[in-house]
Amino acid sequence: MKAGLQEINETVGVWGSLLCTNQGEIIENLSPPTLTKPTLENIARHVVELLSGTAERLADLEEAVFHYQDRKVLVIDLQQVVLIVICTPSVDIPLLRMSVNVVVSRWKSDPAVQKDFKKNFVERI
Amino acid sequence: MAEVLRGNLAQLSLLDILRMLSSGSRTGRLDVRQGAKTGEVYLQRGIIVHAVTGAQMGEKGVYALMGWLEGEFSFTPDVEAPERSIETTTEQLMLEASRQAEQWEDIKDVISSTEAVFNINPSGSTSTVSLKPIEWQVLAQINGEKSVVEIAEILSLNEFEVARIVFSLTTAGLLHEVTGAKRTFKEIVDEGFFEQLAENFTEVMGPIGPVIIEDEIRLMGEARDAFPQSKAAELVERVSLEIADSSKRMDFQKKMVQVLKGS
Repeated sequence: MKAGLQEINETVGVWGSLLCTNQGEIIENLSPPTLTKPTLENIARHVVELLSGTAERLADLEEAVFHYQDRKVLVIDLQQVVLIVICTPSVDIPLLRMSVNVVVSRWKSDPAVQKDFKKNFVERI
Repeated sequence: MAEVLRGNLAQLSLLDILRMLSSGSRTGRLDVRQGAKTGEVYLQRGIIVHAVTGAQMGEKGVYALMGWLEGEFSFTPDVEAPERSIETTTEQLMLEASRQAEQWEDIKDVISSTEAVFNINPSGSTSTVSLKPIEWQVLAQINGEKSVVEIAEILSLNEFEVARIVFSLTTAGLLHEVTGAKRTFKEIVDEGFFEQLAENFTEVMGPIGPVIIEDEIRLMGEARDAFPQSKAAELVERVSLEIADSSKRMDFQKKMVQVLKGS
């Protein structure tokens, strides 16, 4: 999983990426020290709350980009876990989305990763 | 449900499109897209009843979209608005939009494009200048690197609003346009990129591949010989959506991500 996050982080404009559970608990994190653990936990919690809030209205929501003043956050709902990518506002979103697609499709066909995802699955809050 | 109208905002402004739809008493949804940003305007028998883009809704949504000077649009008829967020008459909305369009004509004399980059004048203004909080926020973002459109994105303002502020700060002598910065920002992709794109896409789609690529370039309001590097990934993503088989689409994206990251 770490190699996948590393690959995502190599996209220009990406600060860091992480995987968290459906309740916002961080499973794997590859972010610079400037993004402290409490900051990342806050982001993760905020994201899963947003996903829970929109899930009913947007049943097929798999991806969302949240725009903040000083960052963009790309969220991919992998069902069992959530992928969060934290970027600069000027990140090339189409390039990032395709880079993430490549990694996610590899994860989907990797039994070891799927086992890890399954192990970390919890119901959404 | 047929799509009857589709085009680029660089050729036809949102104001002109809405005027056309309104005078034709049309009902439906106008979708607007600029890169990753999207917006929707709903009309009911020619009356604008609802608009939304990002967190902005209603009148604010309409004015925010009016500030988009580039991007694509498409109108889908007979789509009902999910809600009504606009009570102002369409006539009043158009009047305000026309006022903005007129102001934009003056602004264009100072700001050549929303991709223009500005820097602070070392000599400053010769007279006392007082700034509103929003003008301070824009001024704080000016660094000789960020374009008008990037500042708008960072501050969650529309391009028109930021351009208007940059215009007033420049005419007050506080800012100047950085020549050359825009050229750097609008770096052009080389022919090698298009060759690789065509080769990989044709492998999946067959001989229709290059035709689809040319269509997408045109829909993006760009030309192949002056295609900006900043839009290369968007083009790849758009053409990849034409690949119905998800595994083939993924292989294509994988190859093209390598090309894009290597360029």
